Amino acid sequence: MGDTWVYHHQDLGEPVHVDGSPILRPVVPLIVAAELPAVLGVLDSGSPISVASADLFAFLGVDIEADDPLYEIPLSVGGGFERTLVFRVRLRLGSPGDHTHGVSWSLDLGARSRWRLPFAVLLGQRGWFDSFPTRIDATTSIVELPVGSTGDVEH
Amino acid sequence: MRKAPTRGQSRARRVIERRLAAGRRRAGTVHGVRAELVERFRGRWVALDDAGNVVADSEELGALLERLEAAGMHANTVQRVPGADDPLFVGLS
Repeated sequence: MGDTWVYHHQDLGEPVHVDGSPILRPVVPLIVAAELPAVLGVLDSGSPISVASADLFAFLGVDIEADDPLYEIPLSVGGGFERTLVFRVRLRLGSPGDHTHGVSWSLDLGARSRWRLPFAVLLGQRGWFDSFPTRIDATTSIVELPVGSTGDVEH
Repeated sequence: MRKAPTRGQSRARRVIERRLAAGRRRAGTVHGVRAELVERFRGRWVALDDAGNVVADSEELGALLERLEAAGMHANTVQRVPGADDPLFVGLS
């Protein structure tokens, strides 16, 4: 029987809703390298794939100019349109709070240049929801993740 | 001049604050940029400490991560503070 990790939605400083309430995003901390702080991944069950800022890939061991991608897709995200290279990478999900524990997994991740979103990674159906059974509760603004079902927890 | 919130807006904010507080109790520490720092760092990538203070910032994510790595600087999370005119992201298409 594993633990359930609970992540609190975050206000990333985006413009507020028309009623004055903040926009809260379901985010999880992602470790790209042991010596670096976590970057934020936003969970988006409506997105068919996962994409990230191209700036991250060098830290994930991928040279997007030289390495062969798995495939290439046309994609619009955040108002921009371009062909997007997709690479197989390994990320580590940090535990809530101090990120001292983690769960590593492999995923196909698209590399987007000119990324201007407040988070560094968008986690969609392929890459997140096909790996982690996830409950997003917008009434209490939390994400629940049964870690035991996803593999071993690393310390 | 910003208008004063209506009674409905105030009520909505109180509901949100209650939910945030409930979430914090369940989920532990909340990490995010401190509200009073948002305007100052609009449009920039920031590295935050455990209290939400900005310990480093840069226009580009890659440059910020390189700087943190080179300096061995401790931070909890990295995010971009949205620019004042940035469109709201509503998903891939």
